[in-house]
Amino acid sequence: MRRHVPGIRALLVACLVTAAACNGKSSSSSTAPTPAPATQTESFTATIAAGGSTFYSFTVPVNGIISITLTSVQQGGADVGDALALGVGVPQGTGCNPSVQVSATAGVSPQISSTVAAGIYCVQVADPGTLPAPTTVGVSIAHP
Amino acid sequence: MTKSRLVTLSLLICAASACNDNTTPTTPSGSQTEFTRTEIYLGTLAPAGSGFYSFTLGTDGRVELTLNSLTDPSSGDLLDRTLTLGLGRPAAMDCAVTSSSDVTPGFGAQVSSSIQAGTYCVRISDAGGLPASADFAVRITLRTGNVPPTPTPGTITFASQVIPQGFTSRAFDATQNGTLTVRLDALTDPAARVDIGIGIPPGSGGGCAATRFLRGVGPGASVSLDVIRASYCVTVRDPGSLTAPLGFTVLIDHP
Repeated sequence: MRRHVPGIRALLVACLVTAAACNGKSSSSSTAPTPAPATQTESFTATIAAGGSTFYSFTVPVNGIISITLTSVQQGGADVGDALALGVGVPQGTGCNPSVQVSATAGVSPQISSTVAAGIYCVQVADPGTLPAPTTVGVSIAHP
Repeated sequence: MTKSRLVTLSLLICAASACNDNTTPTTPSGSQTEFTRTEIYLGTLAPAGSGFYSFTLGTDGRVELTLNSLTDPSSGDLLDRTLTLGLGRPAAMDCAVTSSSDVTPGFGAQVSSSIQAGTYCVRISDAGGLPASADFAVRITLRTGNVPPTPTPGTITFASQVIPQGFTSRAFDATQNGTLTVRLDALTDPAARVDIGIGIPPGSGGGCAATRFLRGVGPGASVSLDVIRASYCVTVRDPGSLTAPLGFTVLIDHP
């Protein structure tokens, strides 16, 4: 019996290697992969009319953390403290369908942070119904 | 059992267990029943303008795009102008097109592509041929699975009546790609005239967003169109000359 052990061991190793090679992304491990940190930043500015909205699409190449910051809100070139509806979701139809939405004023810290799967997402900025005039907004998006 | 047989059996078991990827379809490849979803992108395009529409496909599949109509907003007349229809991915404030085609309004597939699960967009743009703003309708047909339903071509008899200033519509399916023929077979008053429109059902609200018209026609008038496998509708309406309800019979010969 003893002389058969090396052969069986070799077979077992080969089987495990084959299993690893074949399994690929469908690993049976129960540990979720660590979300990738944000490594890229995109920013945009747009002007929204009273009662209007705008959106911007971006691609997240791998599962990871995204952070959205409403960096500026201006009317007539001057900063204002109006709160706007800031959301993140998926482009749908002729707009953006936010799955998360917060009321935000301009700041330097992210108002939305979320862990998302790889895919295409969008940020939407909308007037909640309080803007008195066309308003220029600036948004920064950090993602993997 | 000999050693060689033991090794062979072990390798077979090993290979079977190692490569038993849980993403393997539970049904054999080639036997997944097709699922079709349609979205209609309606909008108004300005001269030299563009617009886009985003949609998401949950699993790998196929997309077919058709510019079904391009009409004058005031008269409703069909405009035979060329626009660029593209498929791509939403990016920043636009749609980054990866494939496109110059098209005129029709009912066939004008841009088609196999796509992986994900979010995509349709972009429509005018290269300068539009003299004024125009209303458009783009049909986005999304198919997953690879076994289409069994085609059931046939002829539908659409017999009803249209009242003065009114219209009557009927929806139907083209069960495979092919030629659709719509023929006005009879009118209760053979001297009367009607408009017959062919288009796309706008949704659950009924009606018919007709995009191709036979205007002011009598018995015997017909039109044939190349269509893709999808839902369509026929509408019969008063061209403005009816003074009493008018009975009609329209034959819809669909693929």
